[in-house]
Amino acid sequence: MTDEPLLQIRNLTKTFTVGKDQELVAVSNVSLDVHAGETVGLVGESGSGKTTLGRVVLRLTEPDSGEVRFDGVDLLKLEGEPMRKMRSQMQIVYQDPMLGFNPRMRVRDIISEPLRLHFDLSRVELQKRVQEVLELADLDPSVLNERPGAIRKAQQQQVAIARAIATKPDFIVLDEPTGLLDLSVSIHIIGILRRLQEEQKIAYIFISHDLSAVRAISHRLAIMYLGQLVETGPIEEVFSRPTHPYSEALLSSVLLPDPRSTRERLRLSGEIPSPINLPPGCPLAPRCPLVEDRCSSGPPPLVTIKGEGQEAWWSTCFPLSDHEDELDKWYGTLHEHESTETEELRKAIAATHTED
Amino acid sequence: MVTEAPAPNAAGGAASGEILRVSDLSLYHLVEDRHVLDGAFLSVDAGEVLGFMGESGSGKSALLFAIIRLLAREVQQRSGDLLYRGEDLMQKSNRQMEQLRGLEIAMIVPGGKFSLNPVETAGSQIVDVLKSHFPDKKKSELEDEAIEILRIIGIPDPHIRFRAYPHELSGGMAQRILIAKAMACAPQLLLGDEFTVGLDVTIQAQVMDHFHALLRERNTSLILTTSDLGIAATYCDTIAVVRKGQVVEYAPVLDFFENPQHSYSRLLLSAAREARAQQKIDEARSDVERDPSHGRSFIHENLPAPPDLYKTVAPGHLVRVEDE
Repeated sequence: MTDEPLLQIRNLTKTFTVGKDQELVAVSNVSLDVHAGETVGLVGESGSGKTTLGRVVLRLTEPDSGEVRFDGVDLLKLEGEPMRKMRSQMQIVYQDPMLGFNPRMRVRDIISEPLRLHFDLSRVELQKRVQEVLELADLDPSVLNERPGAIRKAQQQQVAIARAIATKPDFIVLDEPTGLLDLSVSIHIIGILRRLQEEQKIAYIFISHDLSAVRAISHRLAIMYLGQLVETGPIEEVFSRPTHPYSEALLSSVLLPDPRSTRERLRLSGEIPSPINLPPGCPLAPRCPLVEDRCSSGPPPLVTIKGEGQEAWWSTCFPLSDHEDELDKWYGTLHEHESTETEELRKAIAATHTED
Repeated sequence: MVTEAPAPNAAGGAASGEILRVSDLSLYHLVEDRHVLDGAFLSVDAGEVLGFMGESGSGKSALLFAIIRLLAREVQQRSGDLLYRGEDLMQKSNRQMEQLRGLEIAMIVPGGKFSLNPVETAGSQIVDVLKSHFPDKKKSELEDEAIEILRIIGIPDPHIRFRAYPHELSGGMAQRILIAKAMACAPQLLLGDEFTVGLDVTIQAQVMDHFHALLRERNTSLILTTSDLGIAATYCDTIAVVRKGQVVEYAPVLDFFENPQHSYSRLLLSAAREARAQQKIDEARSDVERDPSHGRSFIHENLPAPPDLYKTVAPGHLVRVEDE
C-alpha cells in the first residue's frame, strides 16, 4: 500500500439555486483524504452538507468546482463507459435500504444485479459470489427468495451491504446505515461493517448523527458545519480534545451512557441558521461564544494542529487551538454564569490573558 | 407582564410519595394476535423520572397509552391495575378521564411540527389546552399564560413564536411547543414517548437539559420511553427494560448501568461499556460535581412484581428469571 490516499477531495463546492436567485451552498470548498482501508466519520447537524458531500464524491450529484481523485484518476473528468466501470469500485449504502431496492425483485436478484452489470459471470459463478457475500453480510440463505419488503429492517440493511460489497469495491459511502435501526441491531451492523473492512480493506465514509456509532467504527473524524469542513483529525484525539468551538459543542452534546458522567457542555446560542446567502467569514461566528472581530471579516483560517497525511489534524478556527489553557478556565466561567452573554465571556477570557 | 404559571391542579396537595402504580398490565393486539404487554408493572414517585427502555415493538409506547387510557381499538387490555394517587384509573368514566388528561397526566408526543395542527398557530394550540381546563378564564388571560409557558419551556422570543405556524418552526422549536402543550396545565405526571428522536444531538441536549431542570423544579414525574442509553443515563432515576412485552429488569439508574443482571440488559450495555472506557480521557478536563439530585435515589422496595418470576438483586433492583 502506498501513502497516496485512495480518495482525494480538493476544494469541492456544490451550490444549489433556490427559488429565483438565492444560493444555497451545500458543500463549500471541502478538501479531504480517505486512505485505503480506513473509515472517515463525517458528522454535523442536519443541513450541514454531509449527504451532499457523499453524493458528490460518487458523482451522484455533479459538483460546481473542485477535484475528486479516486485511485489516482480524476473522477470528474470521466464520462460514459470509463465512469460506469469505475462505479463497481465505489458504492453507497443508504439510511433506508428500501429506497434503493426494487420492491418487486427478490433478494437474490437485488444482490446479483451489480454483478451482472459489471462482470460477465456464468450462472454458477454468479451463484457462488452471491453465496459468498451473503455470508460476509451475515445473512441467512433463506432470505434469498424473499422480496425486500418481507424481511426485517436490519436484514434489509444487510442486503444493502451485501449488494454494495458484491463487486468488491474499494470504497463505500455509508449514509446513516444505522439511522433507522434499534440499538442491539445497530451494534450488529457496525460489527459486520468493521469485519468487512478488516477482511477486504474497504475504505468508508461513514455519515451519521449517532456519534457513538461513529466513534466505534471510524479512524478519523471530519466535522461539517454549514457546508464547510471545520475540523479533521484522528478520531480519539478529536473526540477527547476537539479544537474547533463547533466540534466541542457538537461532541459535548452527546449524552454519555454513564449515569456518573460529569461532563460539561459547551452551548452554542440558537440553532443552525439557513444555509442560504451566507455572510462572508466564519459560518459559526453568529453563534460562537468565542467570536472575535476577525471572525466575521474574512474566511476562517486553516490551522494545522499536528501531523501529516493520515495523521493530519487541522481546524478552521483560531481561538481554541491558540489557547488551550484558557479553554479549561472558560469552562469554569461557563459553569458559573450559565446565562452569561457573549460579551461577558469574552471579558472573562481577556481577564485570564492579563493575569498571565 | 409576567403571569404566574398555572397553579398545580386541585386534586392533590403537596406531591410526595407514590404517584402511579401499575401492576400485572397485559395488553393484547387483536389484529396481530400477540401480546403487546405481558404482566408489566411499575411504580413512580413524585419527581421521579422512570426510563422505559426497549426496542421498537417491545410495547413501551402502548404502556403510555394504557396509562392515559387512549389505547387503539384493536389493543385490548386483558388485565392490569392502574392506580394514580391511589385512585383506580380503570374505574374512571370517560368524562373523568378527560378532566384528568392534560390537567394531571399529560403526554409528550414525538414528531415535532408533524404532530402539531398545521393550520393553527403554536400559541393558539396551547391556549386550546388551557381553555379546555379553565373555560372561565378570559382569552387575553389565557394568551398571557401561554406566552409565559413558552418562555418557561425555553423558547426565545415567545411573543413572536406564539403567532408562528408550525411550518415556520424548526424541528427543535416545534418539539418544544409539544412539550409546552403537555406542561401547560402543570400536570403531576408526564408521559414522554421518545420525543427527542430525530433531533440533532445539540438540540436534543438543549431541549432535554432545560426540560429536566423544569421537572426537578416542579417535582413533576415523568415516564419516558427511550431506546437511547445516553438519555437513560443522563436524565432517568430508574430504568425499566422491556423486551417482547415483559419487564426484564427494573433498577435504580446506577445499579442498572453498573450491575446489569439480565442478558438482554447486558447486550444493550455492551456498547456503552466501550464508550465509558473511552470517556475517561474526556472527563479529565472537568472536575465539576454532577448535579447531586440526579443521583437521588428512588428505591422502590415493594414493586408490584410476581415473586415467582422476579428475583430481587438489591433494594429496588429486580430481574426477571431467565429460562436456561
